[in-house]
Amino acid sequence: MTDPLLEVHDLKTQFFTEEGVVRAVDGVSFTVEPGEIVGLVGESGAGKSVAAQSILRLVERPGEIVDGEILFRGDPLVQFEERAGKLRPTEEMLTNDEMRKHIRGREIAIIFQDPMESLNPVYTVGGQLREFIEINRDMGEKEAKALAIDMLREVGIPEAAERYSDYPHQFSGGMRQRVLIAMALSCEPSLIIADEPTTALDVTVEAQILELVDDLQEKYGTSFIWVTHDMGVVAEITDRVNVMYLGEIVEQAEVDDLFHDTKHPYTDALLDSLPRPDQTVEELNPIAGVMPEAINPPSGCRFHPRCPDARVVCTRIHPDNRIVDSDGAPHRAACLKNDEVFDVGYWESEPIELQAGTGFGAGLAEDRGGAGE
Amino acid sequence: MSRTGTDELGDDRSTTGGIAQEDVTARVGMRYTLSQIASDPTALAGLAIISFFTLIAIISAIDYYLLDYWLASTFWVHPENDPNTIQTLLPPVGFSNEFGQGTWAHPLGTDHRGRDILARLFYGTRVAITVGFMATVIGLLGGTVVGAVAGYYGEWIDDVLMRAVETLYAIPFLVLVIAFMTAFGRELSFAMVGVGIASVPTFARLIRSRVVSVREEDYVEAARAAGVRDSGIILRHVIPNSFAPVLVQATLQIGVAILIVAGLSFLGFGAQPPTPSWGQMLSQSRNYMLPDPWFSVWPGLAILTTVVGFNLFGDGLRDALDPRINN
Repeated sequence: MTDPLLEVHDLKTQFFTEEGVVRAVDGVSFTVEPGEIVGLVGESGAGKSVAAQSILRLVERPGEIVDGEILFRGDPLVQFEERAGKLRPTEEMLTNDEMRKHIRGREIAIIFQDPMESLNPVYTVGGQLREFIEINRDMGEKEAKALAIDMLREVGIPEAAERYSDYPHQFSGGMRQRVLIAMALSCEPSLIIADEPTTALDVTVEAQILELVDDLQEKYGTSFIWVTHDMGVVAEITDRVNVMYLGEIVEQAEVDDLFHDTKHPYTDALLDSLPRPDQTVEELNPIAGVMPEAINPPSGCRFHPRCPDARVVCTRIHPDNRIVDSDGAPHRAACLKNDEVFDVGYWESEPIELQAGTGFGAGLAEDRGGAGE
Repeated sequence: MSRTGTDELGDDRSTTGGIAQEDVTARVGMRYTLSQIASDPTALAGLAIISFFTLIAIISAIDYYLLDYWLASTFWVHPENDPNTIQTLLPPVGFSNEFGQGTWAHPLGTDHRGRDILARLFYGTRVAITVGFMATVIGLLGGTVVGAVAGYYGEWIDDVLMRAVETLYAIPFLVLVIAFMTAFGRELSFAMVGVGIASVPTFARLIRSRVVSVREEDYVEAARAAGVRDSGIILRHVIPNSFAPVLVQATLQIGVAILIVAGLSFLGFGAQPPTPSWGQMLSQSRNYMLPDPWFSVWPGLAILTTVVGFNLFGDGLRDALDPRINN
C-alpha cells in the first residue's frame, strides 16, 4: 500500500464554553489514501464537521485543537509535543501563514453544507471562482477566467460563459452546489473535504451531484472526505467509512463490510433507522433518545444509555477502537460485544434496561436528567 | 429564475409575465438601487439640491484656486473686495432702508462692508461642500478600517479599538474639533481633519455591528478555507457586505459636518476672513440682526437647504438599500 495522503492520529478538539469543556472531537484517528472517498458519518453533534474543520485548522474560538497529530503527505498540519509539562505545538507544525499559502485551497479544499450561503452575494459567481483560482494557481486574470469558465462547464452548468457573470441569487441551489464543486476542484487539490454538501438539496438534485462527484473523482483522482449523516449517500459514494458518535470513531470499515457485517450497535441502529429497498419493514426504527452533551459524556461506553445491547460491563469499561476482523481490510469497532478481542466478559455480564425512552419528549427529559448528574 | 430561463419561455408568458418578471429581478445591486431612488420624489429632491450646490461649489472652487476670482471680477462682482460698491447694508430687491433701495445689481443686498451677499453665498458654497465631503470621507475611511478590523478579529483587538473609539465618542463633538484646531491650527484643512476624526466613532460602531454578523457567514469561511489572506477577506468579502448602512450614514453625516463647520466658522475657526463662508457670514450678521434681518437670513437659508438636501437623499438611499421597506 502506498503512503496515506492524510493521517489523523488521536485528534482532540475542544470548545471552552462557560458551561464547561465540550469535547467535540475526542481522540479520533483515521487515514485517507490517495484517490479514495472516505465517509465520516454520524448524527448531528457527533463532531464530524468539527473534525473536518480541524484538518484545515479552521476551528474558531472558543474551539481549539488541544492534542493529536495530522499529517498531510508527511507534513504536520497539527502536531503536539510535551514541553515543560504542557502540550505545545512542535516546531515542525506548519505556521498559519504556511497553512494559508500552501495547504488551504491548493492542497485541501472544502465544500460547505449550505450552497445558498457559501457564495458572496455581492460578486458574480465567475468573479469569485476566478479570485480563488488566481490565489491558488498563480494565474493572471485572463488565464484564470478561461479556466473558471472551463470548470463551470465541467461541472455541468449550461452556457457557462454567459452564467460566468451572473450573481449567486440567479442560480438554483443545485447549480450553486455545482459552482462550489467547481471552486474546490479548480485549484486541483489532492483532497476535498465535503461537509454535508448535499444535505440542503432535494433528492433528485442530490443524485445528480453524487454522480457528478463520482465522475470527477475518477477523472481527477482527487481524494474526498465525505461528511454526512445519510447512510444512503455513504453506500452510494464512499470506499471506506468512519462512524462517529459523541466525538469518537466507533466503527471503521470498508463500505461493504460496514453494511453487511456491522460490528457496532450504533451503526446497526443508524442503518435500522433508514428505509432500505432490500428490506421490507412495518415501521422504521429510530434510535432511542438523543445524543448526550459532549460536556459530560456517559461513563463507560458512550453509547450505552441508548444501546439495545448494553450490559452492565458497558457502563464501566470504555472500549477503544480495535481491529475486530482482520480478514482482508481491517475492520475496527469500539464495542465490547466483540468479546473475543476485548475479553472483558461481555456475555457473562447482566443486560441492562434501555435507559433512553423513545420519542422526542422522552429523549429531551432523559437528556436533562443526564446533564444534571 | 435565471435571465436565460425567462427568455426561453418566450412570448406566451408575456401577457401574464409582466408582474411575475418584475418579482424575479433582484432587490439588490446598483441598478436596482438607482431605479428605487429615481421613483422616490423626496430622494430626487435631495439629489437635485445636492447636485445644485455641488455644481456651484465646483465652479467657485475653480475660480478661487485656479483663477484667483478672475471669473467673478470679470463677469460679476468680487466676493471679497468689490471696488465698485461702497454702499453697505443695502437691502434685497424690493426692500428699502435708511441706506437706500434694493437694486438688481445686488439682488440679495450687500453686507456691512458693501460686499455682494449673493456672490459671497456663492463662493461660500465651496467651503461648506468640500469640508462636508472631505470630513466625511476621512471619517468614513478611518471608521470603516477601525470597525471592520475590530469586528473581524474580535477578542482583545476588538476591545482595544472599540474602547479607544468610544473614548473619542464620549467627548462632545464641537469641543473635540475645537481642541484639535487649537492644537494644530485654525485653517480650513484642520477643520476637515478634525471633523473627520470626530466622526470616526459613528462609522466604526456602525460597521463593526454589521461585520460581527457578516464574518460568521459561510462565504467568509469559504474564503478562509480557500487560502485568502485576512486583508483580502476584510476588503473584498466582509466590508462590501457590511457597507449599506455606512453609505446611508455617510450621506447624513455630510449634512452634520456642514452644520458643524458652519458652527466652527461662527466661532472663528475654519475659513478665515475675508474668504467667504456661510458660518462666518452668520457670525458677522449677528450685530445687524434686528435692523437688517435679511443679512442673517440668507446664509441661514443656504445652510438649511444644503443640510435638508443631504438628509432627504440619505433617507431615500436608506429606503432603497433596505429590501424590507420596498413596496
